[in-house]
Amino acid sequence: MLFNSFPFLVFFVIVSTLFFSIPHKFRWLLLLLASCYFYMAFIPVYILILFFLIVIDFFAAQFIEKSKGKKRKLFLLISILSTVGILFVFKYFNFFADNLTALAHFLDWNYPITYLNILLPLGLSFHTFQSLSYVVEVYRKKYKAEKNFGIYALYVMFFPQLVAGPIERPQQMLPQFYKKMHFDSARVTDGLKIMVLGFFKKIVIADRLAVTVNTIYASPQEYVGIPLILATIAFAFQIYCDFSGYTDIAIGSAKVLGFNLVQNFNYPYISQSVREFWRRWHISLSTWFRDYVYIPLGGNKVSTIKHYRNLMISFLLSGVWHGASWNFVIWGVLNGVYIIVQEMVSPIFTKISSLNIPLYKYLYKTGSILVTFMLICIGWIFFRAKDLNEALYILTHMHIGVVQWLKDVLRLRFFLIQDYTFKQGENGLGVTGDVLLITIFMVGVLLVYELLERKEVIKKLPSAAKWVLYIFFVLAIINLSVVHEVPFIYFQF
Amino acid sequence: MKYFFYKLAVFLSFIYVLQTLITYIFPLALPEEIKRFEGYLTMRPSPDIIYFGDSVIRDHNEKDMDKRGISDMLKDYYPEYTIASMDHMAYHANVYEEYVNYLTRNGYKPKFIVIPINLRSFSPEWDKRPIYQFEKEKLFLKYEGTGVYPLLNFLISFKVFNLESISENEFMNTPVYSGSKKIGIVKDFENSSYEKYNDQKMINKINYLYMYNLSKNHRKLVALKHIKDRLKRSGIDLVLYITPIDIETGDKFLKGDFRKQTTKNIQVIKDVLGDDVVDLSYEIAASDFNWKMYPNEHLKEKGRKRVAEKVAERIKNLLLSN
Repeated sequence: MLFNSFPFLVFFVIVSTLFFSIPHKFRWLLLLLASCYFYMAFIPVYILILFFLIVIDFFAAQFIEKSKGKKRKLFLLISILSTVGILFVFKYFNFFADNLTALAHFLDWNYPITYLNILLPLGLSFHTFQSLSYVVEVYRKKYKAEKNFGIYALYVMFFPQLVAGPIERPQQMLPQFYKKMHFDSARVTDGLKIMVLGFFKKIVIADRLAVTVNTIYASPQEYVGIPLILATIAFAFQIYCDFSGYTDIAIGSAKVLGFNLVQNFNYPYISQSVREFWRRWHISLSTWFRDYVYIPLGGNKVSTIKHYRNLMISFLLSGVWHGASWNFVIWGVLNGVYIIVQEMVSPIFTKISSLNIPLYKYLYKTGSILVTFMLICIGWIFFRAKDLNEALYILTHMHIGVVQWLKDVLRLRFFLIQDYTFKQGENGLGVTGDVLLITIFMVGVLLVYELLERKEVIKKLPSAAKWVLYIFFVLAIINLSVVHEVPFIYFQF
Repeated sequence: MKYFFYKLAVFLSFIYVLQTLITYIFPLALPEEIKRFEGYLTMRPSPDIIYFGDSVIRDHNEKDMDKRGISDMLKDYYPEYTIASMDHMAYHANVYEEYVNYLTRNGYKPKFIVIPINLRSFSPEWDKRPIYQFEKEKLFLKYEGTGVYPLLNFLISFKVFNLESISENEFMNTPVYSGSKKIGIVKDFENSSYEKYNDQKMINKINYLYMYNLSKNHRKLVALKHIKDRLKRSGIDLVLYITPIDIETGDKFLKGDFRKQTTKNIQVIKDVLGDDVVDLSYEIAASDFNWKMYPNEHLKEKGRKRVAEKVAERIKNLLLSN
């Protein structure tokens, strides 16, 4: 079931009420059953895949802990292969088959291809990584294998983070299931506030921006210049609000029950470098790749060439994790290239900084944020476009008419701007000017909110002001919800 | 804990009150048809006759001298009456029911309401087609003026109300019957290419559109019964008529089976709604229909005039009996 649905709200109220009503020793069971129900609301039979993964990894961890020497590695390998194998079959098999077909045609081989006609189980990429981290942590002796099968199953299946993360580590999550949670008004209120913010981001901003993004990205060849730029920036905010909104709802709902999930976003668009961006965006995934791919390969404790190799492998795999298509591979590689180039040029900027040029620090900070945002947006083009051809079309046609647009802005010729912005393509921007303005305004509201939150102003607001703020958010959700289903973007992973 | 629930209750109450105020100041964006309907109801003088219908009301042939719709032609018989036409492509009894409930709930009292019963609307092709459900219109009509109304868009977006009551998959897998014999599923008939005509395709199409076995509990028939009962309680006269079908073409391709099945279905309608339903099913000759590749109920000028005449006759009988 979707978070932004009445069935989820009812489900959540019932589960929360029961959770605080029943004795502590039965609560894990309630949460496990509730999580099973939550997952089975999508495609019931796929719970068997989840169950299979849970069984394999639970027992693999037990055997790793009890074994010594090469046997430990063997059980680790079994766990990794079965987990990755399932991911490969459901997510990558057809992509692999497609490319093999293309290669076979190129080489003139008669290669009969079998395609699998199966849907990707919801959240597979997330909970496979979560289970993998558990097994690896046990192997590294950083965490003791969980003896209670039900608690371990709950660790994998905990409904707030089951389908789109955050990807939790066993040290962070498992001990919490043994803690006795009490109903705490302040904590529950905080949890609900976080959920409201999440719904605001998803429903008011992400779903509304999706209308324009989907219209333009459905047939980008109908557009040139400003609409393409607008759609790309809109997508940057759509994906941020969609994914961080989902995460907020996950974190908020877990908090209501008394559980703390890891922070997954830390104001990523104020990053001054792509490296910093990846410390602020989808933190649980980037730290996963850091701890289980980048560092084991040697991290930055190796020669420069090997360091760059490690970065590239990590980002390539991150791209592949996101999807079975060359677009995602290119997106991953592009981010890797960004970081490598940044590593190469940062000594130059450090040297300039040491010259103490007036205003340099301020200009550098502003410039870095803008350049980083632009680079990330270029990456999002590959992420969002249907295929490579469309991504390249957008990249090579975004600049058309921009100079004229700037001139018209400076001359305040808004009626002209309206003409060539809204009247391109069969469906224009998919929305009217006033709807777009309202959405941009709401993005502005969110940015101001996040700025105040970062500076810890929101926490210190008087009670009445907080009431006004959250009443505003709820009324915005009620009045600006889009009346057709727009799925969470990260559900496709 | 009590204090928390008390604060939550106050917060939610604030939200509801403010939302009601917002909806009053900035009314919800209504579907165009409902705006039109409200416009009719608030006309001065208010309409004497409200004529509901589907595309049959207005469709015309290019060669028609008189291109007016049936409801406009009705004005020739009752020039002193104001007639409001609420017709839309694919409208049907479940939609009419919500319109009727709305106007009676709000105290409007036209002298007559005219509702056509399109036999094709009972077929799976029409009854189960997702885009013909008009869920949004039905929801707005049902809840306007109620306590739920200020939250309607929100409740729709949160799936309390489902705008897609029938999925494409469900539609495609709906069985298709010829009488009591199952002859396939909708997918078999929808996915056929109907661009190049041949006799077998014509037979398939007629089977798909007209040869269902109508049950007394069909939701559209139940809706029509509800309409009849409600209008009777409200003291508003109702003219129900069965839209003409091309019996000649049906007989030509399906021989006696077509007449047999449609007659059976018409009898079911009369059993449920009473004999005062005006039966125009076989009233019009094939030459007065305005269909191109495959039969439907669209009429040329002569056909529309005939229907208007028959409706006018029924209204006259009702006036005399009153």
